[in-house]
Amino acid sequence: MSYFDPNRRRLLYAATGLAAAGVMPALVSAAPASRQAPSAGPLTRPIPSSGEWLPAIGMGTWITFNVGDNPDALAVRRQILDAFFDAGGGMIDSSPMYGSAEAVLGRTLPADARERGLFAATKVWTGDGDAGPAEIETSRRLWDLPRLDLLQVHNLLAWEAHLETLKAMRADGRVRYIGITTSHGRRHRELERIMEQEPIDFVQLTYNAVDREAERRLLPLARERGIAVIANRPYRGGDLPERAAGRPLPGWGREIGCETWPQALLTFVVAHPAVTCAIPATSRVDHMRENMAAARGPLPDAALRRRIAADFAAL
Amino acid sequence: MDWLGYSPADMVPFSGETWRALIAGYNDDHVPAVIGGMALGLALLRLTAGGAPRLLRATLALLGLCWLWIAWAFLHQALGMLLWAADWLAWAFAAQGALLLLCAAVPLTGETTTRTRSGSPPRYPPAAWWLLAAAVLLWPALELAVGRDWTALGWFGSAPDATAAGTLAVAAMTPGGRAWLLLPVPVLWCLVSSAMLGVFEAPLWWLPLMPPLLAGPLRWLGRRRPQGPSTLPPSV
Repeated sequence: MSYFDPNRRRLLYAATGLAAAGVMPALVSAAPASRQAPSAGPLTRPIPSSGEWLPAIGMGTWITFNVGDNPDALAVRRQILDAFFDAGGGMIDSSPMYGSAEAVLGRTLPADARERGLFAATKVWTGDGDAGPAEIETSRRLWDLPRLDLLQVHNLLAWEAHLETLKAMRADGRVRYIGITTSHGRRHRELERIMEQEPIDFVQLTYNAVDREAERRLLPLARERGIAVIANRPYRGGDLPERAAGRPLPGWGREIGCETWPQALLTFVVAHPAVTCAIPATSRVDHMRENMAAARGPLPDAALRRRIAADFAAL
Repeated sequence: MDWLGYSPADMVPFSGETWRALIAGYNDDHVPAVIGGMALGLALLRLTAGGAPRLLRATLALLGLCWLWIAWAFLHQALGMLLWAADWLAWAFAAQGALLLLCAAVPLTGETTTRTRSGSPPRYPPAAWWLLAAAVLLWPALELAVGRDWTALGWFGSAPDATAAGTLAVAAMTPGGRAWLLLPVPVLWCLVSSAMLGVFEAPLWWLPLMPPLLAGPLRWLGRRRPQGPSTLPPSV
């Protein structure tokens, strides 16, 4: 059974139409992301369970936003976020596991982040199911937002208990979407079972030009079940750009509007039809701009994607 | 959780740059403690140079205070912002501090006699004293030599690495079975620190491994060392 509430979708589209007509300006300002595919700008993908359009290049915060209260580092994070939103970014993903990352987001997100398209995603990460609600509330407070958009069970930890909490929160409107995450290719079989049986909106997993196991079962299953896919570690924690450093991009780069290997690697990920969003992390403003310039040209087809992966493997 | 599937890099949620910035900020926020810790380190070198057990107990007590301070100020307050496991480490450091104070409070008796048959103080391998000297003086110098900014150096008495190294040296000097109790937490921290520096690809990732590798053999040598004329380092 595919989880999707057609009434919810209709309501969202209706709200968008009313807002566009100027009838519901307050509602549109509260609506965090667009409901229609923009005709220009960054690549967007629909969230299958709602039809809401989401920029395909988001950002992660693992390591890069865990900088404590260092004033210089905080200033750089503000610039990174500005560059992200200026380029049409939307999803920012974090977790209580990432040290001070959520608190840093709360201190560095621009005041108008919602209006600029923020889609706030974090996780619940505790082995105690009863402790989940308090942890989620702490996250919301650290982000300094009235509501988070997406809550995910981090690395399947105590997922049965947490998923019940998240389902109740979604039903009450305290969160818009729910999901579950894994990384590094761990526990894919268990994730597959959850995707088959649970009414989740999102799944997050590791997918990049080298780690492609998800192509076999999980990505097709996500399409089949109408589950949005967040691809984490699109650069494998920085290893892939490092491997490509100084190497020229083959001629096909121009065909897809990419100038650098990192852009091509990111385009490879979001070009998979099942992938909704990729979340590269960076601590540099120039890298953020480079990331956000990816996937602006024609997307590679399946044959070219195979070639990108093969050419990268040959580096 | 399938912990075996995780690598050290998965356990360290911050970068080497952030780690160095954390130490620099901590040093800046606690200048008196940093200076005090360093002065304490020099005092410990003086106290242990003579090898008198009474002074060794004072050494253990002062070290215990350093561990308690680091548990609270460095691990709980500073590192706690970045690392969810920092409070676990803080509790381990606090336990080590308490253990050091306990060892300092209990007279060195029996095997830990305050005097040998010849009437001279019990002795320890001179290398143990030199290991303490390295923790106090050489450690920050090596960090500086590999390019770390002087504001981000980890000083004995206020930063965990050099303090753990110095504590292992003092444990190697301490007579009696209780000395073995003083080893686990500093050894654990040295392993954690080395792994973390390895994740950061820091040039001195191997340095925290040296004290644990040396302290055990030094302690063992100290136990087997025949009583005779003192070969302790000269008083400083």
